Amino acid sequence: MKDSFNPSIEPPKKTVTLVSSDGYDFEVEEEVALESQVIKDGFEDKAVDDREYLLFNVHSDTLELIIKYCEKHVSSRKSISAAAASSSSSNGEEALKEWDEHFISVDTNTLYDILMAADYLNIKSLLDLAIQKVADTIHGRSPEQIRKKFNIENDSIIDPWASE
Amino acid sequence: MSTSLLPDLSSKIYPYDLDSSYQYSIIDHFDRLPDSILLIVFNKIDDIKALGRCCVVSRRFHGLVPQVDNVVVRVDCVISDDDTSTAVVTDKSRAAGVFANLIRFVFSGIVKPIQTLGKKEVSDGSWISSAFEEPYGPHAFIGFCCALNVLEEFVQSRYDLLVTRWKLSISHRYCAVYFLMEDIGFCFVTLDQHKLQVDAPIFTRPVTRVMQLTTE
Repeated sequence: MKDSFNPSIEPPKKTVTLVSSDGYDFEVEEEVALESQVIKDGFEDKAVDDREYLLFNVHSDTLELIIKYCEKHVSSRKSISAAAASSSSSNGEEALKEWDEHFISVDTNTLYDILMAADYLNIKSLLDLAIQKVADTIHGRSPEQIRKKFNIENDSIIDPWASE
Repeated sequence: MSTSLLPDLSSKIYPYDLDSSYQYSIIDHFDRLPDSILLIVFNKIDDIKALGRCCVVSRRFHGLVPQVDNVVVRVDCVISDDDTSTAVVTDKSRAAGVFANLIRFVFSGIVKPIQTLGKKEVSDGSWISSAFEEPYGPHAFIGFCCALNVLEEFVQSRYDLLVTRWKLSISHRYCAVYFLMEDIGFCFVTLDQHKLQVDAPIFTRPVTRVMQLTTE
């Protein structure tokens, strides 16, 4: 079982269970799961002890990454607002940006999986991050390089590079 | 016997066992991205040259790119109309110069018809300005459309090229049209500050073709 949440000495937090397409349970804190707009939307209608979500489109490998992302964002949001409340200067946002950058530096297939999962779960910040990554990857590449990078078949009718 | 089998085995089986992600890599994941997401990606790219390159990646990309409505225009070349017809080419690339020459050559043929549309003297050395009164007013728009129609017809008839007009958009900041020219590549034309500006993204391969066209 891939379980990323370990209940510690802290007062017990409300958790929800996310089930990946290949049948793994992930128990996560409520606020982490609520990063997903889709989960948030139907959240209040569900009974407290029945907060289990079957994510048919998300493989456990991807779900692990997604949870990692949401946990990071929830925790750093807290620390940023705490720093703002105590009016101490913090570079929390920059650190988070750096973390994001590192997080999204993955191979094309993982990027695709994250993109699809973020779209499915409607996690806007992650979707934006993944889309920006794809855009950056396309930017500055020739058509042939883009095809190679994303494994796209060349069926183009117009190809200025084609030899005669 | 076994020695003759060995190379055969290694060449056939080895690649599959080498990496379990091998199978993954032969799947074209990216083509499974929904159009809606791909379109958001294209909108994020916001650079006309990169988008132009996307156009020729695949049929699907070619169909999607023109739907992009968020494009930032960075202009490399300015066409001005002294009698010497000097093109101010800020792009350092030599190919840009060659392409600009072609464009200038093409334009020089239509300077006259455009000028007859004009009500105003050529004041800033830019021939297109003669067609406009205000840079972004209705006159500018009409003048610009005329200029582009002439240009399109001219290129099409003169060189027998397929010219695809990609987009004509007008906002308070700019007005741009993008031409995709078969075999040559593409250029796009912007109206900005009374000047018609031509941006010719750089392809290395078609340079010889361009040279050939200019001497025709």
